[in-house]
Amino acid sequence: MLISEHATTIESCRFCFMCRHVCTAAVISGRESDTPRGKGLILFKVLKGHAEYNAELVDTLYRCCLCGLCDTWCKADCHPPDAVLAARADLVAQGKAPFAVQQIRDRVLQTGNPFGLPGEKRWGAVGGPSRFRERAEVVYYVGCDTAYRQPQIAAAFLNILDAAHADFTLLRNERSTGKPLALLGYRDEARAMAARLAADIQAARPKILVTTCPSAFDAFQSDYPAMGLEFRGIEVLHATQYIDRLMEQGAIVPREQPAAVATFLDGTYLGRTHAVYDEPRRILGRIPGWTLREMIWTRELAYSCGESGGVFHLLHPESSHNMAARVLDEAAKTGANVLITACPATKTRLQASDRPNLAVRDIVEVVADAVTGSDAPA
Amino acid sequence: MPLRTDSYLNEFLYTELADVVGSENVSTSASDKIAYSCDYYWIPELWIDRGRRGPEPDMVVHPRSVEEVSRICRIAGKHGIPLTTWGGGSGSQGGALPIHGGIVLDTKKLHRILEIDKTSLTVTAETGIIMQHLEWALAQEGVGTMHEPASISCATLGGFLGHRGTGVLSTKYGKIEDMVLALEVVLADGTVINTLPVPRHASGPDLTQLFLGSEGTFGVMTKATLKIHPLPEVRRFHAFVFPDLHTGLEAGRQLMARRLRPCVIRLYDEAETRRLIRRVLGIDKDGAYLVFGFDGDRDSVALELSKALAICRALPHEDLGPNLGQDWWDHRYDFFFPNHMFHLPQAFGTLDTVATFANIENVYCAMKRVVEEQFPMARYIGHFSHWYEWGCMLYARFIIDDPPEDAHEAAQLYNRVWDACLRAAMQHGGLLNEHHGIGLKLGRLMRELYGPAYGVLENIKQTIDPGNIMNPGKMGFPAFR
Repeated sequence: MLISEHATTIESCRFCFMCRHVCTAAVISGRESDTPRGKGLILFKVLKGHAEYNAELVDTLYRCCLCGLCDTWCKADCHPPDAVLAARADLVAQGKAPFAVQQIRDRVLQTGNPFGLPGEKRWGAVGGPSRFRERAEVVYYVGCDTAYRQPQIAAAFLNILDAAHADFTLLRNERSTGKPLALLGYRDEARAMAARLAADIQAARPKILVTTCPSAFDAFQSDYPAMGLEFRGIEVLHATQYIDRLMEQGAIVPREQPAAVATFLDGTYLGRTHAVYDEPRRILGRIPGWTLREMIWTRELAYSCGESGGVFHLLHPESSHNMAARVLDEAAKTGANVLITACPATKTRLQASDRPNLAVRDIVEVVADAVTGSDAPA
Repeated sequence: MPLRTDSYLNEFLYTELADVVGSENVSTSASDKIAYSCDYYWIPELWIDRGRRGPEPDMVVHPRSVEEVSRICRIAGKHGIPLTTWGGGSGSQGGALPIHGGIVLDTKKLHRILEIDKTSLTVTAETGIIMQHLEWALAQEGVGTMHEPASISCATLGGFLGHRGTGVLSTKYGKIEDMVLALEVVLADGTVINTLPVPRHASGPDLTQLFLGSEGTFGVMTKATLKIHPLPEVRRFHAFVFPDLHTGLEAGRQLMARRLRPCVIRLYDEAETRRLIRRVLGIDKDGAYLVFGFDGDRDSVALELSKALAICRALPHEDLGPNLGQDWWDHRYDFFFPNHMFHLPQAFGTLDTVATFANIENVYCAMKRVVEEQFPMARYIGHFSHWYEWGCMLYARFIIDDPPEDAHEAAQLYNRVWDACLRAAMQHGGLLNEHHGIGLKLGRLMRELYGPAYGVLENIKQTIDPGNIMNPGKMGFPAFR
């Protein structure tokens, strides 16, 4: 069992309560089983052979959105999300994945995206074919959430790339990174998808691989090397890092924008995992007219919308909705009129829990407006 | 009789509960049965560790309003089913364990802050709110309850009220019973009552105090009004090492006798100084480590601090300065993370007690003697962490590094240590407990503690909960039948 590699975490968490107040899933549900302690108790029983995975225990293991706040808060060396991921892989190996999880796997494998939408529709609003090149200095990996749910973010990033006169290409056969499969416990299938995508990326011989999707960024930065898929000579950047660099170089210059007060939501992959905290703030700070007001919980302690679970919202839409509502409440307390994320999936979640007087935008859209839009009225 | 999970009567109970709170707020999941079968008490942890099943509820309900709590109580009463209130489940006494099955009423969806009154400096909140969430929300308004226990992240307001909890700033700001002004309580028959809006009245006995520490056996507390305080301008700490515990106790006593108002006094015995203070704070000293702190306006703090320093410096001491006191504050919760906390296979218990200054050292020594003479396999350590004008609290611990593998043998040994130590404490003027409560763990000793006065508590329980459905079998009250 893979969970045996996480025995220290499981044996520590089973009787520890110290992070329950930050656990996104448990704070939303109020259920003890959703806390890292609850999952520690369950996994301890499984680990010792005192219990087997049944439908209810399995359900609990998929109720975690993997936000990593437990990990961040912990002062011992415990990593509950890793234990949960190992457990999912174990129960998948035992053929005990829930039907809903199997359906998502099938959709990703068949269509290349978790929504089950046709591959040819990936580029519908982005104009993909005109952007395909055999080789380029920059490969822009768009990602499923961006392509299918937030194509305007992709369009905005393409505008930025154009404004910077970047030598770039999209991937003709772009599909999921495979990360949603890995998060659901399908490690072999995830690796197979990753290997195909990595080969396509390498074929373009880019110097930079950039993505607007934090989940994909984490896949390229962490998951792929862990699978033995190295991008030698290719620098992996999130769009915020790339834009920050373009601004630093003067390749794009934001123009005065109508006055707006913004608050920025850090995320699990970009923030807690890879500590990309300063780049988004530097970017917003360079846009004349924008003022940034921080939420109480920012950076590594920022609230989660559950986007870190990849397809969490497909399995638990109500919980996902409540997580987003909590973030919106926090954002509203700042008095900001725009909540900015750097994650297309998060934006979709937040828009689903819409609030009057609080627009939700991706940072890439904001930058595109400032770089390519018309000047603000005098 | 308690319900049997495989009984079709369960289906009727489920239907009625779901009708009240919605099916998404009633759980019969195996996951929840495991998670609610274990709190922070060592015996259920042992049970889990040894592969045994803990005391599982038949159903867990998550009410969202006092009306829902009232209806749930009526359903439990009608069916004659035990109803155990669960807040954070982080109690160390087994108080929230559903030892007779039935319904666990999880209060965590009663988490609203209803009013922050900045004129009177009070806050009214539902009792299922996790204390840290309340404190964070108050801090945004520049105020706080100043209830800062190590369990702040995991326990609910109701949990503290139910067990007369305390925090590290209690020496100035009091225990939870000093902070609370008024309560809303749902009784076993579903009646919702409110205690008087403020204490310090002469309109009969204080009903608020009656429910504090009742551990869910008298009703379900659903709402509380607490005092709040402006966040202090400064909070300053200072640490000393005294050559022995006796000198440290004398320093603490003099600080209190002088009627200074430290927010913290924390004195560790020689064993804890050598073990925990060294390991967590990296302070490598022999003797008894004492840290104290003052908070408030800068000039008031400076004045009180100078008087406190003079008291400590008049005794044999080593002055560790302010930084090694601040370190303790900065790391005050680290002690409870798994890398620093005692854990299985060790057996351990916190023998917290309280006594007057005249008795507290004798209580400490009496329990220490019991452990050393009767239980040579155990170690004894302690610190003194909540101080009053008349005495202080002793947070003593016993630790058995290698308890019996057999769960029954281990539990029996564990209970013998508890009985022997607490009887020694009571003989020397100590009580059964100071701020963790009684629960399942210590109920058998309640009659010895109270003597004939325990009958008064029994009569109140019988009157207020004639069907004995509210958390039966705790606090020494009868088991469910």
